[in-house]
Amino acid sequence: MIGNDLVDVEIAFSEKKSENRRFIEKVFSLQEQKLISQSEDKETTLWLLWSMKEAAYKAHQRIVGHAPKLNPRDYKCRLLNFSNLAEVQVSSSFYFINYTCTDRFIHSIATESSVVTVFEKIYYKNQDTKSSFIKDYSNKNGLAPGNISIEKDGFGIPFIIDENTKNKVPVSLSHHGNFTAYIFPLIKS
Amino acid sequence: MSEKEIISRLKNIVKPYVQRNEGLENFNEETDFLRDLEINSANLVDVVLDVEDEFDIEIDNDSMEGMLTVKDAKSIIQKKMAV
Repeated sequence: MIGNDLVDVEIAFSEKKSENRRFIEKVFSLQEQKLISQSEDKETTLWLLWSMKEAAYKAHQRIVGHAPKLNPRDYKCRLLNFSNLAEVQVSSSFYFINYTCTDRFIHSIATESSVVTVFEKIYYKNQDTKSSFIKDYSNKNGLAPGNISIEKDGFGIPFIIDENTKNKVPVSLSHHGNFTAYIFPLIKS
Repeated sequence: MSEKEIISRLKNIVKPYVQRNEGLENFNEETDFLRDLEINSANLVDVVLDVEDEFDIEIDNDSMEGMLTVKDAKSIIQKKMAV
């Protein structure tokens, strides 16, 4: 299963969370707090860890199927010795994280294992990302956009629905500031 | 403190973080912070911190986990204030 989270750096950094002790204690483990305080770029490290937790939360919620929760401290991040890769643990489940940090956004993608590949699309300053995504998704898969819709289940978890085939594909979307990111798993043939 | 007073203070607390203003017009016990007000989850942690300050209480992680609607917040505040 999949999840993603995007942070708009301009908005996030303006909140100066790296100076907010109480916020940090509510969200991060002692080990993660250390990673932040010892980092040269505290804001980037803080928001990178946050986006990993959020992405893993979304993937985990899809598997377990629980109502929304606010439990960021239950998600424990571990940076791996390869650039852009990390791991997040929640109870006995592990999620594999692939992340991107640019000067404008931080984006984390969580999957159950490193063999799951996803298609990602990030929209910038786009008023109607849903229509744009449906168009892009349909083009990529050779489907008629008129048959495609995005619907949420009772827990607010979104899926792409094809009216024609009744096919249901998981999709994870994340919106922050000027950016909206969509990811969906690529079906292995 | 009356329930009405708690709910009106809560409304003031969440205001700066709300992304969907229609949700504020009809602010009641059933209002869901994520679904109805579209508060992002990092800002929901800010709401928890602001509630601690406003009501002079401490919200532990277990309580925070379930603070997703006005009703949830109200009962946590009432419980913590009674201690």
